Amino acid sequence: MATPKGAAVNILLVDDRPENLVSLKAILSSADYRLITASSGEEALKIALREDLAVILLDVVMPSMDGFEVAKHLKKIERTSRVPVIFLTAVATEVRQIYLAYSAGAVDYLIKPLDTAIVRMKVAVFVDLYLQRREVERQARILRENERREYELRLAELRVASDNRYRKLVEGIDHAIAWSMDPATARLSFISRQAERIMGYSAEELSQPDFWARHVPLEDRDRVLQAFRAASPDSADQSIEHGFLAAGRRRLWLHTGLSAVREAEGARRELHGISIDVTNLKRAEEAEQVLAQVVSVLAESFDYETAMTSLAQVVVPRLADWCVIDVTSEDSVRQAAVAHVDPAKAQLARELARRHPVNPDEPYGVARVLRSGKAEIYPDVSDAEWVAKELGIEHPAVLRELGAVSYMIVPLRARGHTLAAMTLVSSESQRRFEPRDLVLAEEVGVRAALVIDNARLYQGAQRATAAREDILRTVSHDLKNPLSVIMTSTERLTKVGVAEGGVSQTKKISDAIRRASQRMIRLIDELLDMERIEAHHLFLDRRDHEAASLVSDSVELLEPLASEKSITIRADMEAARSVRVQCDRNRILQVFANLVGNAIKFTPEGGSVIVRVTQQAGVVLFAITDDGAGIAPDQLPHVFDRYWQARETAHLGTGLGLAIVKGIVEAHGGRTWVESEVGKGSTFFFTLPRANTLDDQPPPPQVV
Amino acid sequence: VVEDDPDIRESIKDALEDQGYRVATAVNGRDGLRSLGQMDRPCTILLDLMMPVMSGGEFVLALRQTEILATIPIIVVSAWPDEAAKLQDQTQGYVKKPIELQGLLDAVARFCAGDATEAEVP
Repeated sequence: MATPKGAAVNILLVDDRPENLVSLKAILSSADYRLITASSGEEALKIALREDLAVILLDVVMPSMDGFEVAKHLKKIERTSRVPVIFLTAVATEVRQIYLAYSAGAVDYLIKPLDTAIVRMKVAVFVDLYLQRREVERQARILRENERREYELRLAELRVASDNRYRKLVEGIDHAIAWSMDPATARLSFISRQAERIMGYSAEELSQPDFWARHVPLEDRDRVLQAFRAASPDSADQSIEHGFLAAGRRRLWLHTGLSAVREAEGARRELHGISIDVTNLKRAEEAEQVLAQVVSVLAESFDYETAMTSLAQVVVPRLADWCVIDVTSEDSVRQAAVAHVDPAKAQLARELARRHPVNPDEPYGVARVLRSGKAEIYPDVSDAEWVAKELGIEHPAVLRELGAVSYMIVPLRARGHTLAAMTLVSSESQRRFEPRDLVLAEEVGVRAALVIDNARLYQGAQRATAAREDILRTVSHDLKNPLSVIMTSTERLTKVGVAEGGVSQTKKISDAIRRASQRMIRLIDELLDMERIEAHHLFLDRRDHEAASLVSDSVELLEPLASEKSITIRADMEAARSVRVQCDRNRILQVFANLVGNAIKFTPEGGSVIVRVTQQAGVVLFAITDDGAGIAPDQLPHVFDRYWQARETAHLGTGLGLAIVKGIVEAHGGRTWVESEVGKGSTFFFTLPRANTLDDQPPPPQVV
Repeated sequence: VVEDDPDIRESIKDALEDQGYRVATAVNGRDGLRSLGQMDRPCTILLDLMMPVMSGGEFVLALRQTEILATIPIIVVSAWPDEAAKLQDQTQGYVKKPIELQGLLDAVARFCAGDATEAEVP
C-alpha cells in the first residue's frame, strides 16, 4: 500500500554479513521504503534511537552482540519498545531458538535462506500496521490540537468576560480607579474609565509611559515607585497613601492597593492596583486638624493682635502660602498680620501693604469684602492684568513677582459686623483654591472673628470701667468745689449773724450758695447726659422746628452772658430762611448754650460771636465763630473728647460740654467738627438733618 | 489764696476777711508767684493743686527755689488726698475739700494768729 502523504517508511536491516544486507535490500527495494542498514547490534541500536522505524529485520547470529541481546535493549527503551522486530535465523527448526526470539520481543521470524515473496509479504504486513498506527496517532494529534485550540478560544472568551465583569465591578465604584501595568516599563496597560473623571486627564495622557512618575508629587514619588517595584507575586499585597496631581493642579489623595501576579505563560509580572480617591477624607482630616490648631492658638492670647499673628502662622503653609489679615478699626483698615512660606517674601508683602494701604472705599479686593461681608475666590490668577485691576494692585508685575496662582479673601464676621478680612494666596505650592478651600477658610474666619470680637468686647469693658473711674474722679473733684462753697458759706452765715454783717453781707453769702448749688445741678445733669449718650439711651423728642427760630432763641438766652463781656452776638440766617430741621428743641438749645457759651467765654471783651445757618444737600449747617485765641493744631482732634479743656480755662466747666454736644448732634444723625487758627479764633460746625416738609406730623418720640 | 475756681476763691477770701485777715488772691500758680512779688510777705499761702497754667505742685517747686519766699508756710487745699500727700514734706498743712470752715480757720490761725489781731487793731 502506498504511504499516506508520500513519506517513505523507514525499515532497518541488520546483518553482520554485507552480502545478506545486499540481498535483503534487493528483495525489499521499493519507492515506499527507505532501507537503512546496520552491520552490528550496536550500530542497529544507535539507528533505532535516532530514526522512526516501521520494522526491524534483525539477524540473530552476529559477533559481539547477537540479535536477541539487541532486541532486549530495544524493549527497554521507550522510543523503540514498540517497533516490531523480525528475526532472521537459520536455525529456526530449533524450537528453543524460536521461544527465545519471542521472549526477546520479536513479533515474527524468517528462516534463512530467505524466500523473497515471504519476506516481502511479512514486511508489508508490518509496514501496513505501522502506517495504520501512524495515521491513528496523526488523527489523534489533530484531534488534540483542535480541542486545545477550541479550549484556548473558550478560555480567552472567559477571560474577556471576566475582565469585563471585573471592569464593570471596579467602574461601579465611583471614587476608585483600577489599573494594570507592566512594572518593567511602568506603562499602564489598563486604567478604568473613572480615571478620566477623577484625575481629569484624557485617555491619551493616561497612557503616557511615565504617567505615575509625572503626577505623583515629589515628596511621595520615590516611595510610590519603590512600592511598585517591590510588589511581587510572592509577597503579600500592600497599600500606600500618596498625593496625586490631577489636571488643573488639583491635588488629590489616593489610597492605592497593589497586587502583583505572574502571567500564565512565563515569568512576566503584571501589577494590578486600585487607587481610591480619599481626597475628601484627607481634607476633612486636615480641616479638622487646622481648625483644632486655629482654636488652640487663638485661645492662647487675650490680645487679638498677637492672636492674628499666630493665626497667620498656622494658616501658612497648611491652607495657603501667603496670608494677610487686615483689621478694621474705626474708619481705617490696618494690616494686623502677614505670614509667608518664604520669610523674604513676607517682608515684601509687608512692604507692599505699607505702600498701598487698604482704602475702605475701594471698590475691589479687601475693601469690598470688608464692606460686603462676602468671601471672594479667584481660583486662577494667571491673568495678572485682570487680577491686578480686580484687586486694585497698581502694578501687575508685583503679582507676578509674588508668584500668585490662586487667591481667596474671607471676611471675619461676628455679630453681624465684618471685623477683618483674611487674604489667602497660593504661590509656591501652585495649588488652585477650590470652593471647599473657601469653606474651610471661612470656618477659620468665624473662629478668628470671635476672638477679635471678644478681645474688643473686653477692651470695651475695660474702657467702660475706665470711663466710670473718670466719672467718679470728676464727681469727687468737681462736685467738691461747689460743695466747699456751700459749706464755707453756711458756716459763715452762722458765724456772721444778721446783727453783725447786715443784710447785704447775708445776701452776698446766700448768692454764693445759690450759684454753687446751680453749678452742682448743671454738673450732675451733664454727667447724666454723658452717661445716656454713651449708653445710647439719649431720649429725643423729635419735631419739626424752624432753624432760624432755634438760632434766635439761643441767641436771646445767651445775650445776658455776652453783654457782661460787652460781646455782640450776630445771627446770620439769610441763607436758611424757613428751612426746617427735625430735632429735639431743648437738646439743640443745649448744644447752642454750650457752643455759644464757649465762644463767649473765649472771646475777649468787646469782641463778637457769629452764628450762621446755611443749607446743604439734605442737611442744615450751623456754624459758631468766635474771635478767641484759637486752638493749637495738635489739640484740634481732641476737642470733642471727654474732659478735653482749653488749658487756660481748665476747671471752669465739667469738661463734658463738647462731648455732650457731639453726642446730641450724632444722636440726631448729624456731624460736628471744628476749624481753628491760633490767634484768629475758632469756628464750631454741626449739622442736623432737614425735616421732611411733606410730612408735618410730628413723629412719635423715640429713644436713640 | 491760690485757687482757680472763682467761687471757692471768693468764699475763702470772704471767710478769712470775716476773721480780720487781709487776703490776696491768685487764679493759678504763675499768677500766685507774680502776686508774691508785688505784696508783703504773707503769713501763709492757701494752695489748690489742680490748676491750669501752673499747678500747685509746680508752684511749690518754684517757691522753694527762691531764697526769700522759700520759708512761707503753705497749706494745701485739695480734694485729692493722694496728691496732697506727695507734697507733705514741702508743705505745712492740708485742708481737704469740701472745706470745713473751722478746720480751714484753725489751720490758718496756726501761722497767722498775730497777723489777724494786728489787722484788727487799725
